[in-house]
Amino acid sequence: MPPKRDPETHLPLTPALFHVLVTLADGDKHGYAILRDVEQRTAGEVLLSTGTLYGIIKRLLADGLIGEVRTRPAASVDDQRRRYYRLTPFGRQVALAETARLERASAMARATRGLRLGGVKA
Amino acid sequence: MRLFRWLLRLFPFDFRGDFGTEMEEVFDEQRAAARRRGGRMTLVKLWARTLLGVVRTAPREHLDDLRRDTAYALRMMRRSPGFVATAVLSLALGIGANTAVFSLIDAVWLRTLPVPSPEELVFVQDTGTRTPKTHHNITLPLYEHLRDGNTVLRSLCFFGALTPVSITIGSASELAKVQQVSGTFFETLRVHALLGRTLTRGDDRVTGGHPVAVMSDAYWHRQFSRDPSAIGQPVVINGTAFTIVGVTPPGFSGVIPGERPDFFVPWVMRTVMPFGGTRDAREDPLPSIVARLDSGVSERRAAIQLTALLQQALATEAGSQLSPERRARLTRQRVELSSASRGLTSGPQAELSERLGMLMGVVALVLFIACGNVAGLLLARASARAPEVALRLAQGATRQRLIRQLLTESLLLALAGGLLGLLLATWSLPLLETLLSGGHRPLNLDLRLNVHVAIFVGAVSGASVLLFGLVPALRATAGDLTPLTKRHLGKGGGYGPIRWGNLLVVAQVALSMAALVVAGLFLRTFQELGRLDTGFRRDQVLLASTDPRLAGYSPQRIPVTYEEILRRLRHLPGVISVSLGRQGLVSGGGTSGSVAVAGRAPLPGENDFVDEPEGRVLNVPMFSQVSADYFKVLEIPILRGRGLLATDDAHAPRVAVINETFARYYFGNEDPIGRRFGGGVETSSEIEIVGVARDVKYHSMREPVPRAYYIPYLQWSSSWRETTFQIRTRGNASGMADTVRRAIATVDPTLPVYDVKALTQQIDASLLQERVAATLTSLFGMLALILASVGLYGLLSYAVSQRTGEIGVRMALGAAAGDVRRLVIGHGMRLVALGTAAGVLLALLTTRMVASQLYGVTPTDPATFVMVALILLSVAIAACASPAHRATRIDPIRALRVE
Repeated sequence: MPPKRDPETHLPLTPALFHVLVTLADGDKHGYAILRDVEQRTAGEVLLSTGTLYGIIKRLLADGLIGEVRTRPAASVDDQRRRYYRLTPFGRQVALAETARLERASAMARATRGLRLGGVKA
Repeated sequence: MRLFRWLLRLFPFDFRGDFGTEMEEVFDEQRAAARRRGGRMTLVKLWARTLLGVVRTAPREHLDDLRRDTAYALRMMRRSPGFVATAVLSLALGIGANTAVFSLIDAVWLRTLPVPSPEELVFVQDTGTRTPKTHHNITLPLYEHLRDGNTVLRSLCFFGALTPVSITIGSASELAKVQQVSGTFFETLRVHALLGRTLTRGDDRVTGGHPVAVMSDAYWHRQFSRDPSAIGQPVVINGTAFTIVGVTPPGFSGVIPGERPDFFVPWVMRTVMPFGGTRDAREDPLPSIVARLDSGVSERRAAIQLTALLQQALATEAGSQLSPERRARLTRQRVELSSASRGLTSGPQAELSERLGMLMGVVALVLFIACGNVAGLLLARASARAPEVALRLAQGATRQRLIRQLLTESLLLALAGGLLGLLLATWSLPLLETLLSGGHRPLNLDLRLNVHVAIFVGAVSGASVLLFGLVPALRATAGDLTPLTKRHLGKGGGYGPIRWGNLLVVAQVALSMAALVVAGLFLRTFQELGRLDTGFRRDQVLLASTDPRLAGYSPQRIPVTYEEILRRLRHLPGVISVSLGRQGLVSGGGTSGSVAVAGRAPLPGENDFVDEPEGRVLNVPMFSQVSADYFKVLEIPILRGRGLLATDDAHAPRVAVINETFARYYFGNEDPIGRRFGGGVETSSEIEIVGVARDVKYHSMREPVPRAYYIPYLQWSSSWRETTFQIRTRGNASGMADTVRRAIATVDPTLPVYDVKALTQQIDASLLQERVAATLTSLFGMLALILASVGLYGLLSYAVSQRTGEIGVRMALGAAAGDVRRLVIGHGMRLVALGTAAGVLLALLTTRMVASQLYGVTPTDPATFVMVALILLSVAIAACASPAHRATRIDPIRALRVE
């Protein structure tokens, strides 16, 4: 059993990294699918390029946050040539931890008088 | 698509291996989607985004790899501190030696003037002039025309040579150097005063009307201890009162590197300088002209415009009556510009540069040897780590990756070696400076580390890495894995690195041999020159020079003054005898004059230029203008006739004493006494020969004794100028220096007294170049030897550790300690013998290149070669001793058990 790893040590995540984890939380995907999904989820705000994506994938693999999938998904969805990636349990923990952190951060910002949204376009 | 693949090459090899295909596919799909969705614009945006992404991610990946490799390398190195220490030290010595010599080269050749934008500075000449780059025929009116009419120059100025002057501050007089410059000098160079002000155009208007002087920072430090109240103080230069108006910044010493003027004065004040002349110089060529190009203007463009201006001015000068040939000649006149960014290189520096090439070669040898050491160490380590490497290869690491990792180790070693080497070089620079300035003409080189040097060190370190790191890295990851993973008793994997190691040691020994032979030859040269008989007795003689003209004396007053000085000096306690003489005595200088002997026709080539190996030389005798006691003081024997007497004065008939070479040349075996000669055919009966003196060295120790004659200074008004006194003392000559100064001051305190030193010092100084060459090559030669012996020691130790099993078997089978020792030493000495043989060949090639710098010893001098070989052999045996001893201590039982 590998020693318990603390997800907190991986925080904070860069937005791109975070989105990749979130995307994979939704199910195993191959590289291109991750790209498309992130683009759709963020409504075009986060556009990853191949270079950035695979840099991220490499890091996530190295840190054990994602893994390569040995078994293929259902035949109808599968594309034989591609490599699929899956979120590991630890990766899931990290994604959750980051989500929580972001929520805390935004809650704190809202509680601040200067940032209170009252008729002013943020 | 091919473009994208090419883009992927920016990523590390391994990264590409892992993700390359995938990335291509993904990008392919992105392109298809983009084309479908938005057409051209979306495609372009995709490419832009992708490019940006690659540019941002690829370096990060490389950095990651580097960081990992470095951490790994450091971990490995921490485990073997001995290896690291030896390797880094070897490299530091090699790189340090190269850096030190390079700093010399930089100071002599490469460094630009310490002014803003030195690349904008140019020397201005007109056609028909060659080197030095400052001779020309441009007169003041022409200069003014160029200055006023051009649109390509920021400013123009001119400067004269350095002149020795007598400076009086308060009551003390001394000699100083002054440079006469135009008012625009500092403006052109863009040099601002440290304190006060520099000279300006306003200081250049009236001849003799601007007695202001700008002081150098060095002089300010020396004479005024940097007291700011020096500004505004009066200083008397050659009898004229000047005012100090400013100080130049430290590091600035004019435009002649190696020459350090103490003061800068306006050109219009040249009338108070000796040899400055009082005529209006409007028809004379100006001294050296320097211009600063306007920003963005090329030399070519400026030269074209200036040429046009020059021709215009010349045409106007010539007037309307211009013959066609004159007109044609006029249009051929051009203005030539040449870079002045390094200033004007002068004599001492040029001499030094000869040696520098040779030195650079020697230190390059040292570096090769050092790299050889480290390569050997790395090879040994590589074989020790072979199992680990094999394992990682088997686990799927690529060869590229492993090579990169091993090279990272080499890089770290080179980095450490480079930094330490830089430190060593910095520390040794003051020593170098002292060594090189030991002569009576200090070289005044500004030796310091700068960007050039830093770049050099970086380049050398990088090259070293490749030299010593690449082959071991390749070997470590190459070829057959089986012998590396098993340990063999005899032949097998252990011998691979030893074979390479043998080669390295042989090469190192050969290089050391070459370096040491060169050093030996220079040492012998220096010895031979030092041992030469000068012909006169050099010990216990003090020299002191003076120039009464600098104190305003007319030539007529000088002989009386000299006689008085001679009288006072003779009466000093501790003085045996005193004389004076202007030339010779291995001072490097002298005077020559053509000679016609009465009743003898000159030989062809006599009194004419002849081609000697050093260049064109005037084939005439040298002479010395001396006082009567000269021969007595310097103990030069008179072989025939008599020496000079006090009665040979201005009222007496003209006489001379000749040297043996003179007698032999002009008179053969005949008796020269009573014969007459003179300066030309008309005056050939002017001087009667009254004596023949023994040959003595004149200019320098190296040169053969020239034809020379001695004439009484009293009989020739051309000698009523500066001179040197020779004082034979009872005890140590240098100890009398102050006494002598004071004695001359009692005659006249305004007389500048300079170059007070022992005659032995003067002679030693003349051998400065030889001494420097001998010292430095010996130093580096020894360094080479030390490094090579460390290499030999390392190899033998390694061989013993690898062959432990074999040795154990031998001992178990009855071999004695002596046999084992012989085995190891035999290995070592075999390599040394091969190396020495190769070294002899290498040395024969290299010494031929320095033959011209040798004296008294041939480039193939057998004694030197034998001596060096013996030194090599003895050091080698010492290096073999410890490993040999360790081999005998091997416990056969333990050795065999391990196998």
